[in-house]
Amino acid sequence: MNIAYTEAEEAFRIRCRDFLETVLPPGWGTPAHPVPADAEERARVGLWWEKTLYAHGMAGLSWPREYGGQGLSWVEEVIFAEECARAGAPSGINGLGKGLLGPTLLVEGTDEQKRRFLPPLLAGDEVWCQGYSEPNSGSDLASLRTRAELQGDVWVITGQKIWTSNAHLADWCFVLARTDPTVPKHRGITFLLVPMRQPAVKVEPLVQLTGEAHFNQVSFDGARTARENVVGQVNDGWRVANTILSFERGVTIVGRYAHFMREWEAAVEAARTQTGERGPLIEDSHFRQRLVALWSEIQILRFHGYNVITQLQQQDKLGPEASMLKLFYSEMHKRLGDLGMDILGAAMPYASGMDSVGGGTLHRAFFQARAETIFAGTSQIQRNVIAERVLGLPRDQRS
Amino acid sequence: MDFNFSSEQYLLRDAARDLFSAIAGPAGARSAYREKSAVVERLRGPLAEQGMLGAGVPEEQGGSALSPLDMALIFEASGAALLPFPLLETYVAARALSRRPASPRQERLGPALAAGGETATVAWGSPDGLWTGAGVQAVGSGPVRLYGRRTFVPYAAAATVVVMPVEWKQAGGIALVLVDPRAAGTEMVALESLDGSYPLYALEFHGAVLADDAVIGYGRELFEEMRITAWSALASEALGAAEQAFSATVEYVKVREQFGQPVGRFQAVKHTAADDYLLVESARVANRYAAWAISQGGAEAELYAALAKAYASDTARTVTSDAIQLHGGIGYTWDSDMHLYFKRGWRIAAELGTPVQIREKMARVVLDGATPRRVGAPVGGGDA
Ligand SMILES: Cc1cc2nc3c(=O)[nH]c(=O)nc-3n(C[C@H](O)[C@H](O)[C@H](O)COP(=O)(O)OP(=O)(O)OC[C@H]3O[C@@H](n4cnc5c(N)ncnc54)[C@H](O)[C@@H]3O)c2cc1C
Repeated sequence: MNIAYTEAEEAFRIRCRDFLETVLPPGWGTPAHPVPADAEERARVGLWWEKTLYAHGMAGLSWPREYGGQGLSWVEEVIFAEECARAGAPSGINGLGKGLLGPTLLVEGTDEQKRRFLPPLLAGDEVWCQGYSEPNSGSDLASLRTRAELQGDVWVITGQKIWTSNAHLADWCFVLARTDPTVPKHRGITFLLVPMRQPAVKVEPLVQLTGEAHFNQVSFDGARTARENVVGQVNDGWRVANTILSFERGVTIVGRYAHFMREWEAAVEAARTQTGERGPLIEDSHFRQRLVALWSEIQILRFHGYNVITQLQQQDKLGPEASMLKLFYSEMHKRLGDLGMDILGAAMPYASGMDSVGGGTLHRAFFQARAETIFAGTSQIQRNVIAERVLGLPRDQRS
Repeated sequence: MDFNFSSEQYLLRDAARDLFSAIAGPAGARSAYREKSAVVERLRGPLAEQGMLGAGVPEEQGGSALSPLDMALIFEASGAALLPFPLLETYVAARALSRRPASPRQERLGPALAAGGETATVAWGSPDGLWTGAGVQAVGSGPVRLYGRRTFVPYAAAATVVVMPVEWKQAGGIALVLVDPRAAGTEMVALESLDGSYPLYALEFHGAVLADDAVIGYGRELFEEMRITAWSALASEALGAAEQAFSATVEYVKVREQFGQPVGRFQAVKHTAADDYLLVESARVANRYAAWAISQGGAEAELYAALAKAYASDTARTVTSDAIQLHGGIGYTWDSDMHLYFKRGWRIAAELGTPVQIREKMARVVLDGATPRRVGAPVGGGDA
């Protein structure tokens, strides 16, 4: 055992810090320079961030150089993610492309697909969205009904997608569509890459509980994409999609603990200013207990991360840990969000009070955590997966 | 980055598992419920033979000088096997002695512990319930005499020697000393132990003479270090017990049928199991990090040992409780093994501080910014 980064890795960390210091405006991530409240402004910042990363050779760190990446390893990805979280760097706008589509193409894509799609993805020239969920197919994703038919050299796609994050900003969508309705549901699905900017694709915003519209309803009404824009084999899309689900649930989580630490620190800060019957909440045993319990869980997330890095280095793949990490971090984050609200106390009910204590961080964490236990497989689904695939409990006949 | 044990360490764990399950396991634990400390006699030989009793003893004194990382795995195995033996106490006592053997008696003790000729325990408890080391005073000179009471002395009746802190004004506060539990002026009181595989005693001192060669060291540091090591070891034992109860429960719900199907197909059962799995795997990485921090020495050790102790304790409490619940009626019987793990888990959770007490201590570091205690260089090689 040796929980240490190599000298080269530590040098890389310094490079990350220097980079972040150079490109982020002074005071970024502090109350002096808060995250923009306006969603459009945040989207602009998100796109600027993608382009800045690319321009400085900080995009696609672990991707091969020939596709615009940096040819480094997962460890550098994790170190950079950690440093970004620590600095409160903005979220890029292409997270789904980088976290899901890219890794899938690297495994399942043809050389041509990789050459065509990866460089503009990394450069922030093409933004991606994920078209999986449908109004009647969420947790039971494989029941999806969006159809794709090959007409000559073109796929024609018809159906409804929903909750599609960033669809309003996206140039491309990776879509799961049914290509063979006659076979059992998992077998007739194909993974397609579909251009968003065409008349047969309609995007209607859906307002989230935060009051902002990040996700959308997307209708494909005879939308078209070229025959070669299939990833993997026709009717093998379920397997292809599952290659990346484990990336989504696993690797992208590592490094996030640094982000949770910032939120935790905001909660501690708030506990110093908010008072209860016996003085500052920070001196109240109830809040001390909960703050320390959450600090512990955030540290444990960091340790889980070391475990993931070790596994990726030793075996180059992730097992069921991915489901475990997803469940662990999202449920923990919910408790952290709730704690923040309890600390704010009488200030909690004011959305405008979001900036008075904690710079809005606590309210954002509180809301964000509600999404995290739903997207990328709900907590209930993660528990099913752990029980059935890890512990070997008998499967539900229907699933 | 290598956050894993080596294959040699896993081999060592497998050997410990084989040994512990051969000499203990639920049947062995049950005999300790009946025989109390007498069970120690039978286990001492095989444990000494396999080098388990010399784990905290330096090699030059005939010990096996295992690292804190090795021990994390070994205590996981002893927890899983419900080993009714003061293995943990022997280990931390030997470590305390090996730092600076202060007398010929102490120099002889290490090899004797390793060989099983002597058995050590630690008088952990203080009557204030805070594990502070308070409760027994050393007074006078020529001879120094002991007065007071120490609680929570496991396996005292099987021990030839007890390591304990005493309050000693003339010596500047506190000292760590060796006492003979059968010496004149010392009374051993058997207490009823909730975890019957872990017999508990109190020691009462009515003027027992503290021998000249009995002082291991002065100051609070030694006792605190012993406690930090024990926190990490207890966390491992808690994990081992939790994991064993958990896997037995998972196997049970696969075969127990109700409503015409295995109960493990019901989602309420599945989700409880999944949550418990998460706890077990999270305690595992917490323990691993704590053992690593101790093996490195330095300021991180106390905080992360505390984290591991509190988290693994909560894990053991929840998981062993769920184990009973998911067994149904049979889980509430004396014949079921689940209560053995349950009682062990809850006892460990209370030992050297409940999770609530330990988080209070941690709060002083993570919320108030107090500097954590440094742990000295490890015995028996730091790393891995
Ligand atoms: C903020 C946000 C962003 C999203 N972004 C995207 C995106 O970009 N692209 C995309 O394709 N999707 C996206 N989603 C959709 C997300 O993946 C789905 O919401 C999720 O898979 C759940 O599906 P559902 O909403 O249909 O809920 P349902 O499946 O209808 O679930 C309702 C409830 O039933 C429970 N449940 C369902 N099945 C089971 C079962 N077998 N056992 C036990 N409980 C069960 C669920 O846990 C849940 O509590 C996003 C969702 C959110 C909240």
